[in-house]
Formats: sequence, structure tokens, C-alpha cells
Amino acid sequence: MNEKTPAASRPSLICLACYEDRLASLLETAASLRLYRVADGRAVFTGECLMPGEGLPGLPGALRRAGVNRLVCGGATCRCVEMFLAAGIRMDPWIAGQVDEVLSAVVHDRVSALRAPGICPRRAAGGRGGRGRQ
Amino acid sequence: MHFPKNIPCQAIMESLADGVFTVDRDWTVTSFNRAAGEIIGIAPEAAVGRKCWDVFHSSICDGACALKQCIATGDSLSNTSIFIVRPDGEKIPISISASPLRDASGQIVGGVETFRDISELQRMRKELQGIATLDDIVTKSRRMARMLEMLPKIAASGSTVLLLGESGTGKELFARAIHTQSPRKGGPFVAVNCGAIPGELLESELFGHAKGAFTDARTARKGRFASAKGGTIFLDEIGDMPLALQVKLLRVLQEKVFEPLGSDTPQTADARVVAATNRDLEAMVAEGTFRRDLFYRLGVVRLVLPPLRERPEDVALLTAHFIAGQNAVQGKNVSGASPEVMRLLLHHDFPGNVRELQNILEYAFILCSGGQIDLEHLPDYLRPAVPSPADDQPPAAPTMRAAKHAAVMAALARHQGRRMAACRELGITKDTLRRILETGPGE
Repeated sequence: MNEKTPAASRPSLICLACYEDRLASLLETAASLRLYRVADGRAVFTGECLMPGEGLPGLPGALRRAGVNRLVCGGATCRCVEMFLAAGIRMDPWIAGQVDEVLSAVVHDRVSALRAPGICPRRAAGGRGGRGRQ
Repeated sequence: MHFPKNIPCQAIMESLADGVFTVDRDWTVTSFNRAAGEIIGIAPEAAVGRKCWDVFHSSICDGACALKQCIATGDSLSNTSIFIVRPDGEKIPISISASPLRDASGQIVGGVETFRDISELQRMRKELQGIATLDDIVTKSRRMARMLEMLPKIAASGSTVLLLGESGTGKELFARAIHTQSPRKGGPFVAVNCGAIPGELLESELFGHAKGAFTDARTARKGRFASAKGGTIFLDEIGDMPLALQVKLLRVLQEKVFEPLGSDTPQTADARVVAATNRDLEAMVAEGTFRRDLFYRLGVVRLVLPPLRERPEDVALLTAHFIAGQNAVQGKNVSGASPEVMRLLLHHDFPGNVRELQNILEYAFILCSGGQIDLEHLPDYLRPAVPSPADDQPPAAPTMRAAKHAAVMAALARHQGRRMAACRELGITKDTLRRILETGPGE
């Protein structure tokens, strides 16, 4: 993740790709895309975004239209990461944890502490990395 | 089978070529062998102690977990094909088997899963069946296979590529494949739909703008060409680009420089250009709505993607491909399409090409929870029409939102309003069901 970005310095709309009460293991199998407004050290649930009919290829556009500027999710393929970066959406892939835990990390700017096992910092920042073995 | 005591189980686990891991009843990984680490790309010491879904990132972790099923039923499961996404972002097909683990008293204390990488097996199987593949493109058509054969060389050349073909023929898939097969694959792939952005905004979108370039330009903004630095820019619907902007694009292609809107400082363009359109560019050149020099400059390499109706051999292949994909994503076990459905699909014209076939099967998956896809699972517009004297007009195809709503309402009716039973039948979570009901069928 981009460590230089200040935590919640201005109101932002964040999407969490979830399954039940945790982040989904993969972005493409997420059961719900929950939107949270983050401001003044708080994250407030504002609704959900539907996965578009065409699936993942249509998701960056759908999130942009919903005003989302950051996506926090579990595993994602290289192609998927490229799509979101090209759409101008900040992406924190390969994050793992319960929804509450992730929201707290977002508010306190320590999402990188929730990286899934085996993930190198560059991969979690949405860039191309190596095998990511630890 | 009698199993000797004091056998070095650790040594056996480490000697296996298949990945093996165990979990306790809280889904915490309790053991993880060397082969598992190699296939998944995670060191065993990083995996042990973590929840299995944080380690595996498979197509079944979110809602269709094989271990959960085995632990719940006490049964084993073998040779199920799924996929995982490794930490390097690669999608790998694997075959898994799972069983519950019992203690000496017969109580289930967790589960064990074994798995193997079947990428090579799938590649060989496809070769034997005469199927050509590249990235996400699969085909049995000789014309398409020839293009796939040429594609790595085209990708390596760095030349500008013009992709022509009807809507839904896979032009973006080809553009992405050209990028991933090229030396620029480490750079970004930036797609711009020239037809979706108003002409007056397109210049700023492509080349960026300087601060104060126009009323709302309070800060400078870089454009898509700058974002694609070191990678590939895909200009879709290039036939919709205004003539005035065509001149600027020609300059980028010829001189590799551009100026952001409102700036006099030239910037170097370091992006490979791949363009596409479903329009007849030659006719547009003849009528003066597309520049001849740009047409030739873009079409250094020109690929014409055939519509699906001209390659019927791909209908069955793509049907099987999309069904396998939906099974993996939705955790369903749809075995295929019935002979009646296949007959109907083979005689359909597919004006929307591969995208239409994909949408038809996605629709069918909403209504079909297992077994074969039958005629009743297809959208109304595809099913043989029943003549009605009152209405000569063909029914409009329902939207995906309406179809999902109809499927949920039908399942609820079958289960007397019991939501969990409807969820189980449709293979969706209760959150998804609630969302579908809340959003309604639309107009």
C-alpha cells in the first residue's frame, strides 16, 4: 500500500470486497461490495455496490460511477489489478481480515499490516512483484 | 489398512509431490507440506496458524468450501477442479480432494485437503482436442488459431495494431493478449473507449491538461498516454474519434510526442498503441470521416476477428468454457448444456457474438442450480416462439437484474418463502438474496 498517503485526510468512499463478515478470499468471488465513507477518523457504512452483469471487467467503471476512490480486497490477478489502476482507483489487494479489523486499519492507515501471508509489500501495493514468498 | 506406529509422518508429507494441508475445526491451518508451498507460492511457516481462506485464495473459499462440506457431512470428495490465484497474481487450475479428519474416538477434529497443479494437463488436453489458447482466448476455429499463432510475434514487434470486428468478438481480449505477450507486459495496460467519452473531453482524457487550460482545470492532470508510459494504450471505438483529434493522434504515432491541453511543452509518448473498432474504417475513409493517413498508420498490423456465426465450431467449445468458469466462480456443478440447448445455440445468429453467448450462459446459471442447462433456463428471446395472435412483436430480452429478481422470486415461491432454502437452491448467500430483493426487477 502507499504508505505516503495520509489517513483519511479528506472524505473518501472506500469499497470492501467481502464474504460474510470478512474480506473475500478473492475479489472475483466476493459476495458483497460494501461501501464506507471515511472521514474524521470514522468509517460509516453507506450501502453496497452490485457486481455488474459482465463481472469483474465492468467493476472498475461501476465503482467509479459510484464515486469510489479506493478498493480493499483479498487476492486479485495481475490483470485485475491493472484494470483498477487504469481506472484511477487506488487498490489495496491481498489484504486479509474481519471487516471491523480492516475498517479500523483503513481509518488508522495501517492496512499494510493486514497483508495476506506470503505477500510482498510491492504486490500488496498493486504493483508487479515476484513470487512473494516469505 | 494397518498403519505402523512411530512412522515419520513429517518425512512422508515432505516427500509427496502433491500439496497437502490440514485444518482444525476453526479453519486454522495446522500443517502444510513443502509441495503445497511450491504450488501455492507461500512458505509453510507463513501458512501454518493462518485461516485457510487467507492462504489459498481459491475459487471456492468464499461460499463453496470443499473442506466445510466434508466436515459437515463426514464424507470425502475427490478430483474436483477449481482454480487458485497465487501471490504473484497468476491464476492456476488445480484438482483437489478433501476428507474430514477424525480422532481415535471417531470425532471429527478437522479436515485434510490434497491438491495438484493441473495447468500442464489442461494444456495437453486442449492440444489433443485441437484447441488453441492464448491467455483468456480459446478457439477451435482454424482462422482464429492462425491469428493466435501469429500473435506472440506481433506482440514482440512493438508495431501499432488495428483490431477490426463486430461488437463482442473479443477485440479487448486480443489487445490484452498483445500487451501480456509483449516486452511491455511489466508496464500498464490502459484502455480508453473513445466512443464513451464526449469529443470535447477526449483530448484532455488522452493527453492530459495544464492548470488553467479551461474553466474547471484547477490543477494539472496527466492523461491516459502518460498513464500508459512503458505499457500499452488500447484505443477502443477509434472510429468514433473526432477528426480534429485524429490529427493529434497521428502526430503521436509519427513523432512520439504530444502536448497536454493548454501546454506548449511537448511530452514524449512511450506507449504502444493498439486500436479497435467495429465500424468500416475503409468506408469512413472514402466518405472523409476518418483520416486516410491515420488509418494506414494505425493498421501496420491489421487483424479482423471473425463473428461467432462464422465459426460455429467455437460455440460448443465456448459454451463448455463459460460453464466451467461459472461453475468455478459460483461453486455450482452444472454438467453442461442439454442437446436441445446446443442445437438451439448452434442455429442462433449471435448478433452480440461471444459476449452474447457469455450473457446467455450467465443468465442460465441463475436459473439452473445443477445438472444440465435446459431450454427453460434460457432467456425468452432464444426459446422457440409460441405464436400469439395478440402479439406479433418478439419479447424484449430481460435485463440481468430482472432475471435475477425473477429467479429469486420463483425460488422463494417453491420454498414457501423460506429464504435460506431459496439461497441454498440458487447457490447464493443471504446477503445477495436480500440485495436482489431490495433492488427489485427494474423497469
